[in-house]
Amino acid sequence: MFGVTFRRTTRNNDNSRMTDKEYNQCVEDYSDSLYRFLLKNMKDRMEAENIVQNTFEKLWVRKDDVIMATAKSFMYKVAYNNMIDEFRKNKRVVSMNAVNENRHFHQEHYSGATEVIKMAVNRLPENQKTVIILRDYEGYDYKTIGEITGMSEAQVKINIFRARQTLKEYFGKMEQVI
Amino acid sequence: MRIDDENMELMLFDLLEGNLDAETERIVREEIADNPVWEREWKLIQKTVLIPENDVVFEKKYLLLKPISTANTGTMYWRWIAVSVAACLIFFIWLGTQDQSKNILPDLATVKPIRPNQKTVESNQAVQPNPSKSESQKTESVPVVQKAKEHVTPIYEPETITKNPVQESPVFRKVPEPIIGLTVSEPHFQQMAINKPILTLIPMPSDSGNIQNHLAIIPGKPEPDKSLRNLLIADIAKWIEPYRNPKLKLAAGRGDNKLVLMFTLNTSSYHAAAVVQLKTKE
Repeated sequence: MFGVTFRRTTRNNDNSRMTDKEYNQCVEDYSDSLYRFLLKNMKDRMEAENIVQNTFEKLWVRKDDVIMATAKSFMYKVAYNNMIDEFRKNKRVVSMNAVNENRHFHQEHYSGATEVIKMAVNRLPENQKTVIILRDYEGYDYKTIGEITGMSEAQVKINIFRARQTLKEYFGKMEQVI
Repeated sequence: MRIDDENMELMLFDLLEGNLDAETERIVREEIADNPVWEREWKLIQKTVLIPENDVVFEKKYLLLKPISTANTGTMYWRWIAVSVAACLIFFIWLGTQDQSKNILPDLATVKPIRPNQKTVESNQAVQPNPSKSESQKTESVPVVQKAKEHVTPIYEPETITKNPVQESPVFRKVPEPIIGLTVSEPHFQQMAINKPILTLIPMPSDSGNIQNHLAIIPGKPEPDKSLRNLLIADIAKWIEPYRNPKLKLAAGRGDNKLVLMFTLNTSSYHAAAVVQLKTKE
């Protein structure tokens, strides 16, 4: 499904073909951030590591079709799709409605603002969590996030908006509790 | 733009996301400054910006890295070969159109065979120059071939590829033992076996400033056929291209399981020659 977006329209210019060196450069440049993105979403190191490896395997297999300029988006899209597959497989997609918002407030202890943010992000629905991480971690614009996640730009924007609303409310409640 | 309680939240979001134009941003910021409720909201929404945890790294990065192989250069290599072959073909076609007496470069395929008892080529040693040659002797371009320690029957007579014979005898320099087969590393051999099952030439300057030449050949092809010889000529021709007025002499001999390739590079500035014995991979 991502082939249409990322495949080069022409193969005449072999200069745009990704070389082994460029592939290794991708590993150096993007493996950490990709791993962080996955780990943040999945909260499982083993699964995140597996998907990072699968993603780079796919990049390696298709390096003749992927140009360096779109390699990062390509990898995030592959990783995102892999992650969604894993979620479906493990039935880990959680609806925000299923979460008792008040459940955590008095049962958990927070060492600082970072922990609070982590906890808050973890409570976001997967689609909101994904888009806000892509937005804040990677600085992607709505269009690129839409290409990665398969959402429209409007959907991306509203998901980010809702995520920020949820986080804001969470922080507001935390302030009241503290 | 009218800002009220209903759309202020969206305005705060757009302000955070950088989606507002300058005028709207100014109005929203004024509203935030004037209204403590929105000021608190603005502070809260600013906290929703996530900061990457850069201390989290993928520790198995080494598993992802690939050795810089000749996978891509292999393609280029084949192209280079194709260009060389094409250049050779054009060159020999051109030669065919010339008067035979005016030929500058020899076609090794047509080199006269040497009588068995005429010459031997030293197998492990390079051909040495005769330093005591007179000036008249130096005009001869065919090197003095010494007796072989290990008998190798030349199958091609050395022939100078020079239109005008050089005035000095080429200085034949013994190729050090390490570059005779040993310098070509095993991985290189293996890569060649995968990517290019023929001979290759790797020019490399020595400490003395002369050019040493590494030659490698794949197993099972101890004797270069005609196309391989042509490729060799093209290789060397390409190699000496940067030198001014280069002249090339090339000879090949074969004996037992060994291949001897000898070539001489004569330039306007210096002469260098080497005899390289190729050993097939055991």
